Amino acid sequence: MVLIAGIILLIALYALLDPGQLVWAPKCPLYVFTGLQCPGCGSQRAMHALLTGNVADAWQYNALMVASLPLLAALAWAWCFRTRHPRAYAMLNSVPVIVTCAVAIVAWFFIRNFCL
Amino acid sequence: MSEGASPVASAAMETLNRGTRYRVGVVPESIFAGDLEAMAEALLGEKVDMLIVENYSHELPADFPVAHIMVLPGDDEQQLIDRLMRECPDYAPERSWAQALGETFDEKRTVPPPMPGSGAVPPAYQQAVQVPPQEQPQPAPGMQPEMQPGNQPGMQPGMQHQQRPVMPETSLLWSILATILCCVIPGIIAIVYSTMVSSKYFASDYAGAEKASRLAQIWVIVSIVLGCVFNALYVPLMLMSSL
Repeated sequence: MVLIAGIILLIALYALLDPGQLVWAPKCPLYVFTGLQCPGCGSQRAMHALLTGNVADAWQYNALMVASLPLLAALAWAWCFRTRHPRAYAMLNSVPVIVTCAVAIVAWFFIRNFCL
Repeated sequence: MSEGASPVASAAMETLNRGTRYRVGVVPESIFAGDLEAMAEALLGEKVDMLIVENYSHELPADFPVAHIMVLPGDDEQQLIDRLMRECPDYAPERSWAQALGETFDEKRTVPPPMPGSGAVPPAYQQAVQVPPQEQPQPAPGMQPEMQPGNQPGMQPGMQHQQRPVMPETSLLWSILATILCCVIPGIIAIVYSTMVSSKYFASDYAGAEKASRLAQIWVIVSIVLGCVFNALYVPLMLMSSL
């Protein structure tokens, strides 16, 4: 219940406020210390852009985050119904899926910092 | 519904209901004597899939919507079950009691065992049935709580697939979110532990999977805490310098 309320609150917050303009929006430690963009940098701005209907901007801010939303939704569903649908959970959390996620995240870190 | 049923039919129903795929009911003649259509409707309403009909002197119509077998004079429990499996081809017993009864087990036709507290409510009429304890086959897989790793050596190799416990939380969702939103390096470590949960689980090393699951959770928490601590320190700093 608290989780759902928190998610709704966050969605409302990011729909209304533009984190790119705010000084007090949370910052990424990796970016602050090294100047390198971490795999998740731009997620807040991308979220705001998505919630205001600006998919192209969202893609520009963090393509991986936008692309992974369906997978995250599926994982969230499987997590909620882990005991009711144990096979679905086991399928979505099988080794190939996790390894693909890990490789995608690490690859995205290198691509966005050194190739784009 | 089984009130007034003979011990043989009651015992057969009890055994058959240990499988979680179908519900089996017994209807003695005293109840069955009335209106057939109303009876069928009531049975479908109760979600009874198979019926054991007792002491009924007539044939049921061919289009009777519930699969059924008749109890014949001199039947024992095993004969009843054998006939139900022969005459109701949809009836696929689950492994545990299929083995207990010496039947062949068709893996493709079973559904995964239900998890504790997730349905598979035993039919209410089952409670009225008294079965002597020595007749009890091993309990259905669904009735067991999440299996503890210590139970493993006792498992028969053939039963491993059916009795595989629920996968421990891999925390994959939270590791990804922590990596993206909080702190990268602990997040990546958490994802590595998620992989270990999964690989150990599929290798049937449930104790190792549980351990890796706890470590993955710990690293998710580390990532979130680091991200929060950093922002709790950094954001006020930025706020002050921007004023």
